[in-house]
Amino acid sequence: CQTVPVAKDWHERPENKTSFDASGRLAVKQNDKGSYANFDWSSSGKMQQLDVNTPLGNTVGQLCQDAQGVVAVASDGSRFEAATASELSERLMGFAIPVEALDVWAHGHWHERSPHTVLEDGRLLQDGWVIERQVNEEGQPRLLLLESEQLSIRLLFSQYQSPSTLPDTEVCERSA
Amino acid sequence: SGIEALQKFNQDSNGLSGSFTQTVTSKKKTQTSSGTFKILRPGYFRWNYTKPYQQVIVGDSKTVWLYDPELKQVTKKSQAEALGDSPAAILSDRNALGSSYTLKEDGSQNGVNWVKATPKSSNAGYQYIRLGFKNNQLNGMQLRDSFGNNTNITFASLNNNPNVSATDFKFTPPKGVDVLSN
Repeated sequence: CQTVPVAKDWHERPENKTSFDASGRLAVKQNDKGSYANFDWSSSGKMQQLDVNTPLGNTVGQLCQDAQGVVAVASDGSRFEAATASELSERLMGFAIPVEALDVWAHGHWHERSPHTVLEDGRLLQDGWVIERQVNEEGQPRLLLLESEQLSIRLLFSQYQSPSTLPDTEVCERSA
Repeated sequence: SGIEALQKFNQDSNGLSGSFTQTVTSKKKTQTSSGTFKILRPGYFRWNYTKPYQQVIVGDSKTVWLYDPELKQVTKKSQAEALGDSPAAILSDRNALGSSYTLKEDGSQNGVNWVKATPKSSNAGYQYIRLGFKNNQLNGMQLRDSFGNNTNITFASLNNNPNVSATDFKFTPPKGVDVLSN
């Protein structure tokens, strides 16, 4: 298949995060267990929301992160809050997806909350994840691959754009 | 009426094949996809998305296989559990809409009679399914989930007795692909 350029340049996270609106497919693998879903993922820079969907378009779970923390909503409407998105995504999807750093890594940045290393092969090491990023011709994220000892997570973007309209609220909806 | 058409659809057509166009409208965007499908009752279906990218969903009456060629990953889960995952799972199970849904006539527009099926259990993952029939032929399907997403599927080039057999629904994962259970 056509080779997609691997982006090897990593930088510190800029002051305000990139806002974007993306969708694609999410594949998670842990030994012989795995999970697969379509995703819609958007961020205004202050609030990010990840919808985990079936191919049919209905959302099975939603993770939202803002300044106050993270909240997850399941398809039956039940809401969970927790310190970290990884904890929530484990409850929602069965796998701990480091959502709180995903938007930073997806744009070729490391966050300042923990140490990092850029490996010779151009991948980033942070929070126990080895992260590889592939971009399209416009330099937008095309594939984000995260590997930890037992888990492999891949996000393949089929759509990525800067949002035409920023959401009016910068806060996740917390009460039903 | 819609319900009569649904009952007739459930009684006689063993097999069905055709193409579909799917439009999902969420608060922020609309995404369109299309593909082909094949159904053989009870419980066999193939639901293949071809545009904008390939996703293959196969139900062999015991297991639902979800295969993404580009990501080279197959995820399988028990078919009983995956009923809500694809309309073909619903359409391929004669009594899928009988026991666990309440059915209601839901009007007709330009010749399409609609039936609204509301799941009796609250964690079905969506609020309702609407099935549309035109001269007793399946024409459309709509799903609304609890997050405000609306999926609208229109069917085309339907064949009411495709020559399909169970072997057409046997899924053999290609070489070099991860096969993972959900």
